[in-house]
Amino acid sequence: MKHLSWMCLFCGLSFLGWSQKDSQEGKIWLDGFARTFFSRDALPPNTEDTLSSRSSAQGYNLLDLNTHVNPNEDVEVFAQVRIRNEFGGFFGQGTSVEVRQLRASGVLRDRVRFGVGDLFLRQSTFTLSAPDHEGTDPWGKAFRNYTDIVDYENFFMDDRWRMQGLQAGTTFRFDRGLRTLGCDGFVTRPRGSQALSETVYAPDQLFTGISLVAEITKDWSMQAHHSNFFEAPLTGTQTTAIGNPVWHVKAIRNISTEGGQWQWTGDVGWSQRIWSYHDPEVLDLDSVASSSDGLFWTAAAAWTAPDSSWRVEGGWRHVDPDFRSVGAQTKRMSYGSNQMAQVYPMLGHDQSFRPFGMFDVLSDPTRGNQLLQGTLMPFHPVYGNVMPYGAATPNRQGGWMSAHTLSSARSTQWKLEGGLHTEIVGQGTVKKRKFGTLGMGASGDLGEWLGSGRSWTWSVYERLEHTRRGGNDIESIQLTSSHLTMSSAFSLADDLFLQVSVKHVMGEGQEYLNVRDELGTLVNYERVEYDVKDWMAMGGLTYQFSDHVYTSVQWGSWGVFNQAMDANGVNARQFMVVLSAEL
Amino acid sequence: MKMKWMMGSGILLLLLANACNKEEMEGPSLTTLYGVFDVLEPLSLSNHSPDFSQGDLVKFACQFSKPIEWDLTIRGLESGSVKNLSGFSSELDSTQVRWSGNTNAVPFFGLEPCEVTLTFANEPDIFRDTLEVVGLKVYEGVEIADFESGLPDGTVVWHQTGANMTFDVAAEAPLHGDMCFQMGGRVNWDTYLGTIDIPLDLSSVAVSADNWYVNVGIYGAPQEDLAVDQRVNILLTESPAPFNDDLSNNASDVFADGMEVYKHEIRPIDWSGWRYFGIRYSDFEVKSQGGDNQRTPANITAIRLTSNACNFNSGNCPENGERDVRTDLDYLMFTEQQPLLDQE
Repeated sequence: MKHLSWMCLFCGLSFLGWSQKDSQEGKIWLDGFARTFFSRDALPPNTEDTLSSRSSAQGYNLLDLNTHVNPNEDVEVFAQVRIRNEFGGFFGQGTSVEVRQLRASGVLRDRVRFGVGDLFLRQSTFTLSAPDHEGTDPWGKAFRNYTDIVDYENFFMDDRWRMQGLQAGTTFRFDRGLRTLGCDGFVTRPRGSQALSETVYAPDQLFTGISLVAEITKDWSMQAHHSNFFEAPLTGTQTTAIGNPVWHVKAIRNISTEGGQWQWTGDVGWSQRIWSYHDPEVLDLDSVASSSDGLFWTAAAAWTAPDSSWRVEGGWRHVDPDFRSVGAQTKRMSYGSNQMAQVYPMLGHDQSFRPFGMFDVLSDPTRGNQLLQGTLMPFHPVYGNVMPYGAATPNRQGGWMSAHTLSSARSTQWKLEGGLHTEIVGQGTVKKRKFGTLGMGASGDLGEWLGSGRSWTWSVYERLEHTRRGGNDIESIQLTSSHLTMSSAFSLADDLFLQVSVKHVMGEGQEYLNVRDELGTLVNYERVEYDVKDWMAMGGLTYQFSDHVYTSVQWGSWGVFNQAMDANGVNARQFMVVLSAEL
Repeated sequence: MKMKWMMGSGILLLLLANACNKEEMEGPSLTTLYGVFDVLEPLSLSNHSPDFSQGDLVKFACQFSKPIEWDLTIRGLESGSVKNLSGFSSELDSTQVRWSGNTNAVPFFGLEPCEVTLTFANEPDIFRDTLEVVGLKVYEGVEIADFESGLPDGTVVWHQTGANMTFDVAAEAPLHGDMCFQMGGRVNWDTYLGTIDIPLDLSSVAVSADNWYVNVGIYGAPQEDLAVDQRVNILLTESPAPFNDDLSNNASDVFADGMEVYKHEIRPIDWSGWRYFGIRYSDFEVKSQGGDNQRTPANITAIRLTSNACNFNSGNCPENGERDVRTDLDYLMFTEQQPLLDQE
């Protein structure tokens, strides 16, 4: 293992040298990424569970080699090849080589940007955008060694979705009437035809979009976005196919005053979701099986202090119950009940599936979702019940506000945010849920404050959520959850850090999980009771070889219990070593 | 002026938003779903003596106080055959919950009394009733062979000269009717025991391979007598060559290499009693190419079923030295659109 790690590092550094040499010629250059990962998981002694191993280990080495070919100044062809070797692999067993990314991109006649192949796309919050997942640390510091892996393995880059297809865009500049007009469009295929069984094939899914962004004056700008997610029924054998066009118009006004910088925004848009029935025997008789329309609008204002030290935002949003946008409502993390955990998936004397916890969200790359989903994905109410699908969560109206410092002006950062929302229509009752959320936190460097000369960064963030619905004994619910995230890194010596991260989630109350049919129609509910305690605490040492190369040794414990549902809980420990190098 | 315009736009948006939300509730009522379960109308049957050969249907009706998962089971008291209907609703709608005499799995229902049971998820209530089948369901399809009158015309049977070879029509434990085709024996030196080839004329069939099914019942011996790795291969040929011109080779002449032949293997046959299979023609794999190489039901000219098993001399299955292979066949049918057992 140790030798393999150093081999990876050696190979990486060799490629780095080659990269520098060839880049001078301007034709081919290489970069990439290498990682060695090893973890050992352990369970405490348990006389009731004699079937689960008390300790297990796994790991791998991988090298992602990026080849960039520039046949001329305007075009680049990019290919990423992954070589991966599982810990314990021998003579090729457990070793895989695969093309992970392939893309050609460039500029046509100095005007039109284009990309073909693997693309990272975003549009607007309501047409194509990936909201943060439930484990995200607002400060981006806690459990970085884990979350970096999850993000990298799932192509989670900012709020973009990775898709395969074609993208092109250009910007026009005008000397009257309009300052600039940016146009951007894409055609992608998020999923190809897929065999669901021996005789049933899911059809191709296609996703297209176009955006126009106009800077009308120095103060005014307008945006128009359109996306369409649809299935091509002839490429599969299923008889129903989805179509989901979404339109979004946004107006922005910026005002500079002596009292600060103001930004006013207004959004309005709507969506359709159409399920068409397709008869493979009679191609001309496609008919609409069901359809729904939904509207949304928001009005928001943001103020930035004259010295750019603070930013305060607030607004009001309304998203119809039937507003559906595949590109904006697909979740980063999958909470489907059929998904097994990677570490100790089954426990107990009956080897039943264990409950998943925040440990899985933060550390399990296989739980990440990379595919756009035509129907609303399941979510975990304790992890996020107020806006489970981000700003485009359907059936919500209410206001929000946030105030936070801007990092360029202060060494200590503060953040305060909250919101009050209600459902627009009740689910299973005319009574509507009422939601409240409050988040607050701070981040800074104690070393600076103590004047010790050594870095001692810290961050803390607490998020509270409350859901309530009145009514009779069956209808009424109440759910409260708390999410505490803390991290600290102390510099023991140059480039050597002692790190600690803690995540603690508590949830108590009851909720109804929605059960939807294959067309997304709400058909039933599953009542769930929560008395959840869910934690993850890791600590260890990190040595930073350079800005892009580090190694880290971490140890800690994690666990999850839901005493209200009498489910099997889990309490485990993990030791982890990672060597990460951007080449 | 600008302020008025912005306020006007805001009010318009609010009106638009509210105008779009006339529904007060999404989804079924929670109070109904999670309320007290009660039976408003007990289980009733439209016909207690159905003659399914005349197209009779047994329609079931029942009403509950809330939508619930229900399960209706009809069990033949002599054959042991079972038909199961289930759903999630607040009633058994007699226009939809009905029985045409079919079964979920073989054996088929006989002329026999049946017990009807209705149960509910998480509720102790059970309803029971009985009925008497006075006529059997007639399945639609193109018959290949039911062996009631012996072998179909032109059939060619060949088998090895092993021990206890049974490649013939017999009346022992048939699946359907009174006769079946026994196919088995003991051949220690070869995996291939024998074959039955049946000529076909399907020129009037107009459906595609996606909607054309081969249905066959296969019998497995009792567990203690099961030979290791028993299997049946089903071959369909679209070769227009004469079926059996060469009388010296003990088999038909339309499954040779270079002819358009498709194959499906049922392996292993490790169950006891009868099982019934419905295999779509488009799921057959290519055995050999010839002709237009497009699966076309109307072009099928013959079917072959072969019996195979692990041979004792290979050393891989010492048990087969003392066990006879048994892969009996019955009720060979072609059906359109769906497998035979799925017919309502």
